Amino acid sequence: MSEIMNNQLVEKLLDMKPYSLTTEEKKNLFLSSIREAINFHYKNSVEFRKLCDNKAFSPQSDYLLEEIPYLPVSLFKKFHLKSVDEKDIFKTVYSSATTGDSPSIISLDRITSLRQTKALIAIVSSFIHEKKDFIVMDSDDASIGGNDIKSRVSAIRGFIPFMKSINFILNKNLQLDPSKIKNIDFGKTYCIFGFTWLIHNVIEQNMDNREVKTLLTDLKDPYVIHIGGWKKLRDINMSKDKLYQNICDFFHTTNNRIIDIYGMTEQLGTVYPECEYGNKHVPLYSEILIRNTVTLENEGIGKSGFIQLISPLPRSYPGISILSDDLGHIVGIDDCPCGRKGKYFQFDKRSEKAEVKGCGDTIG
Amino acid sequence: MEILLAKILIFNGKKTDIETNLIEEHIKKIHQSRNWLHSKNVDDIIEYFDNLGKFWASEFKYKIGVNSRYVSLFLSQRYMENKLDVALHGNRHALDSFVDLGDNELLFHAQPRGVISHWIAGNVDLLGIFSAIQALITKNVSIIKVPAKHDLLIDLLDSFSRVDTNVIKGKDMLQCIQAIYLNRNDVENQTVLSKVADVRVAWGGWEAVNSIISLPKSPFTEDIVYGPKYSYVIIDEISLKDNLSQIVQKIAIDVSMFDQYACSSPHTILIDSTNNEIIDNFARQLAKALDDVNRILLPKQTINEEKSAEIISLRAESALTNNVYSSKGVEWTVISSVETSLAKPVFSRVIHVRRLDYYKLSNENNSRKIQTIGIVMKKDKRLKIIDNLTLLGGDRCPNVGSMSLFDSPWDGMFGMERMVRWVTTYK
Repeated sequence: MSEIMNNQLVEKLLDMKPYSLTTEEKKNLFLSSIREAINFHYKNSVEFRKLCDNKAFSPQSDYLLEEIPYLPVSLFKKFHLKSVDEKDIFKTVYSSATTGDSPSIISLDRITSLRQTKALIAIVSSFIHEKKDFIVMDSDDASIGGNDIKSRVSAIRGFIPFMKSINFILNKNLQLDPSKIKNIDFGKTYCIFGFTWLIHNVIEQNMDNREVKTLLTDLKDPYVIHIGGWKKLRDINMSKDKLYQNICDFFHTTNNRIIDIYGMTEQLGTVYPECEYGNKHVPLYSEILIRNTVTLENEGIGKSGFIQLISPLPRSYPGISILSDDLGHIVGIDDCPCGRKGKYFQFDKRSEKAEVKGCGDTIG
Repeated sequence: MEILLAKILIFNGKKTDIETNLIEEHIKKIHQSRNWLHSKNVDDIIEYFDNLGKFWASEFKYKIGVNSRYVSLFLSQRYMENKLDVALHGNRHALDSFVDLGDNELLFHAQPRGVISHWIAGNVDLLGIFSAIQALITKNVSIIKVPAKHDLLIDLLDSFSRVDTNVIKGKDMLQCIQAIYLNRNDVENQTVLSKVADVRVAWGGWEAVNSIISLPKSPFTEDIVYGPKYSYVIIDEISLKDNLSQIVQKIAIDVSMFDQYACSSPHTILIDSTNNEIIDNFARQLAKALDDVNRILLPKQTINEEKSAEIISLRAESALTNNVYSSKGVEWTVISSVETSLAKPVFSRVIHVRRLDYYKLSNENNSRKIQTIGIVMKKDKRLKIIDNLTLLGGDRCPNVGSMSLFDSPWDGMFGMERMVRWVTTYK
């Protein structure tokens, strides 16, 4: 019975437009929905139950959103967490992993996958409004995949519902293939889509390539959607302003057509696109809290901390409340000039691995 | 190319902010103080540092924090006389003239080696200053490469000039020290510092110490390496029954001092008991003590978000298989587990409580990386265990509560003895 309730509440949320309610209007519906999700995972995930018990958190008690225990994102890299039977898993998604790190492994059942697809469509529709012809900054080799979908493939597949057509323009070595650009019909308005670091690499490699530049001259003010974080670009001191300038110059577009999408493999579907005012918006289907990095208390507007992501969508794995290594801050609530309601935030940076110094450092 | 300017912070007996490309010309001047220091009697030098210790205890009490009382003890006349006597084969006056140490034919005189270069690690700036003072007491002049966070260290050194005795003027003593800040990539100046040294004292982690000892040096240069080390605690069941509350309080101080970044800070506590309830109860009591120490005595220092993220992850991972007791924020963490090995250090007040498996520990202790083993048990049993354990690793086995108090010997060495050159003549 409670599971049916859960479905009903999540479905009710998913039937609503992602930015249609104020935070106050959203509050009770979201909390009820997450409460059902917590009950489900407490019952079905040993690991989630242990973490709740360790925090002396009872799903039956009255609690606030900020009192819900969180799973650090690293847990998904070290444990294969599931809340449903193995037979119900129909695909496994992996996050991209940095060097020396393992990817997160996320097991999806059909219910979770469907919810995530619904959420993604609703959210992204608010930004690109209708299906577009896509130029994908990736190799079409990456589109081949079975049940074990690697992170880039998984991201590309998530956007298929928005694609009128799809043109992969990189070869299997992830280099721009001019012959593939020649197939593009420049009469259309395209949406260029890819991972942030890959878009940067392509621009960097072809900045002075006359042939490519000539071919791209006729691009008409395309949208550019980029995903996947900034870590690799920060490592080479590439600022957002500089990257956006390069994107505008290379693809003949303007800043307000570039959409940076924040999201996590551990909570697919509930993504956070950036509006034309530079703010990432929280949809009805999830909630964002900012945790002080020392006290772990919930922070108010403007203060930077770890980003906690809460969403009732995951059913096959207990990823309903996760704490990321990313730092961000809430910019405002319900009053972004773009008109979207709900919280909006900005990503600050990703925390790196801690470096130990001093005579107690015995790691050689 | 990046220009790496060195900053000379203590020079010519005063605080400065000289920036220079090459430190060679400046550090040559340190030699000018060697004769002055050599001409002083060791007891007069000890008296000076006794006065300095008292001055620090009053003027720097809050800046030094909980270590303040210990600093004053370390520098006290009686303590230092005793430590120096032990280090110098029973007679500290060997530093002043030839003395009879009991040899049938020879007399002995301990001459300073000369210039001692110290590389001080940021996590233990106070421990580092002790090695500089040991150098001065053994009549060596010192060049101190300070860490990036060096305000307290420089203030303490600069305060030498504010303390005088009847025999020694503080400003003269300060002439025997230079303090320099070098960029970690400034290999050229680090090499100068290394080549000028008769003794190199390196405090630091694995990477830092390896990079220091790889610098070119004279074949006659002595190396004193403090770190990289791992420390832990062993407690037996009977001691816990008798003294649980005192033991947890003392360990909480050991864990909290230097925020566990010192080589002498414990990372694992091994309980000699097969009763899991006793082990877990100990962990719970330790958690309470850590909370008290953090609130009252030693508030946690600033922690960066990377370390916070690491602690949060570890807590969650551990909670799946073990018992985790922790502060609401990331101040302290106790992980009580059924494992028996020495835990990987996490630092930042994360302590593992485990059951002692003596056989396993004997194998793990087989390393010069092991430094301090805090041991709580009756004397006879303790001495026997220490003898067996330290055959291959482990340098000091103090009581809990004083694990991070700098002592002589340290890291298995009488540092002050290593700072002198023994000269002999016949009787």
